[in-house]
Amino acid sequence: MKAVFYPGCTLETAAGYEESIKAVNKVLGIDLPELDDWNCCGATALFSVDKLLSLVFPARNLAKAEKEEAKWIVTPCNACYATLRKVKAILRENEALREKVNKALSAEGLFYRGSISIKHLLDFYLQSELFEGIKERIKKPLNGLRVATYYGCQYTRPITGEETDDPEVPNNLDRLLVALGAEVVDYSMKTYCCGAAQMVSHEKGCLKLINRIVRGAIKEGADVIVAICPMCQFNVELGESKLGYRVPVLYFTQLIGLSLGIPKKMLGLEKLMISSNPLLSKI
Amino acid sequence: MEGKGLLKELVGLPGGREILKCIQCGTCSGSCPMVEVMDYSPRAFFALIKSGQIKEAVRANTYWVCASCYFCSVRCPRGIKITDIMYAFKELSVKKGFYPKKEPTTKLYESFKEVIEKYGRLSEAKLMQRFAFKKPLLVLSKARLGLKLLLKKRIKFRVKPIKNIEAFRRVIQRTKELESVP
Repeated sequence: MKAVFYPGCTLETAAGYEESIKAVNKVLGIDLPELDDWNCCGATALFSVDKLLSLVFPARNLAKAEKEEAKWIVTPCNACYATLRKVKAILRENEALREKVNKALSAEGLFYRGSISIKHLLDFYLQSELFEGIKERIKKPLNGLRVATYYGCQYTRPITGEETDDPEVPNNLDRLLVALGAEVVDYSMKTYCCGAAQMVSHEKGCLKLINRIVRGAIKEGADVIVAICPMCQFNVELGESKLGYRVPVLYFTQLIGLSLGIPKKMLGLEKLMISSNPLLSKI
Repeated sequence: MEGKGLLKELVGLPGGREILKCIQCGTCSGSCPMVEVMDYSPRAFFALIKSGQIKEAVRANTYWVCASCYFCSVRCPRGIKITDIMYAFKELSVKKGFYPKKEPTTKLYESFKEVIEKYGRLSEAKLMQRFAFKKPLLVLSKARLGLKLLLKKRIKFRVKPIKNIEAFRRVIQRTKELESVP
């Protein structure tokens, strides 16, 4: 099944997400080529101010992926993932809008058919063959590590028909981390909101959300919070630093990397604001 | 602006008629992470609209402060797609110019749009630069954070536009032409 990688704009500056994805893919022998000349999905911002353009931006990426004959477009970002899913659903249900979008795309010789499937990177690794491959290559199981999984909002919401997990009580990331040997704690903030872009304009209100998330994890004795989205990681890590907490917030690919025995420096851990050393000494 | 005309327009939005199905149970407000920042909670916001106090509703920051977490949408017992309605309000308010003028999120999203239209991609540094023209003090308050990120190599100042930027701009131009057609 041909898949193309849609990194999204924030991957480049995310603390070691890109590095760890590359390192893990190399060990697993995964060839996941980047979508050629992709553009920003527009995210929440464009959806808020310009409806038609907010459909055209994601549709251009989907059309380009279809042109490359990909069956799947794989993204490591919840916002990209939700935006692509939303647009696919809207264009599936509204023929007039689909026609309009295609008229716009024709200015670049592109056409959106609607055949592409949208996958989150987490689900990509959870495909049975790849998942088995990860399990077979574990060199340093994460035994003794207590992890709080943090899915954020847009991995399972809104409901568009393409999600792979429960909107409020998801389990996919938990399954992965348990397979890596970690102990997953139960807490009620797994899909609570980090505030997203509102952190810029309404920081005080958003820090309350981060407080609830991080306190939830600490109460259950978590050594680390595990994120699957650049925005979530950024908001939780920077937010909790301001609040005086010190729970490291790692990307799930960094933990896969550690369990596969990939050296620390190849996983971009030095880019984290809150040092990962306390948890490294536990593994 | 005439309140009644606006009500018609709001109900005419995609999913807008659903507002009338609201039973005021408050599940949305109880689920909303941003409720403490809002002028009116989502439930109170719908109550205003249903009682015809449209002007008061559209002047509120409620719909702009929505973080798009979709908790309300998946929990609403009446199946109202509340988040989508908030999006429709935002777009209509930009079109009609009736949004709360002090709300920084509006300016932030406009800056975001400017950057991605120009380069095809977002750079956080460029976004904050643009946003600084509109909300200088707010951006200044983030200077320490910016410095910390810089030290960790988590900021990139140079943005490379996408390769096919000319064609991309043609697509945007065509979209804008199509938008003006009803």
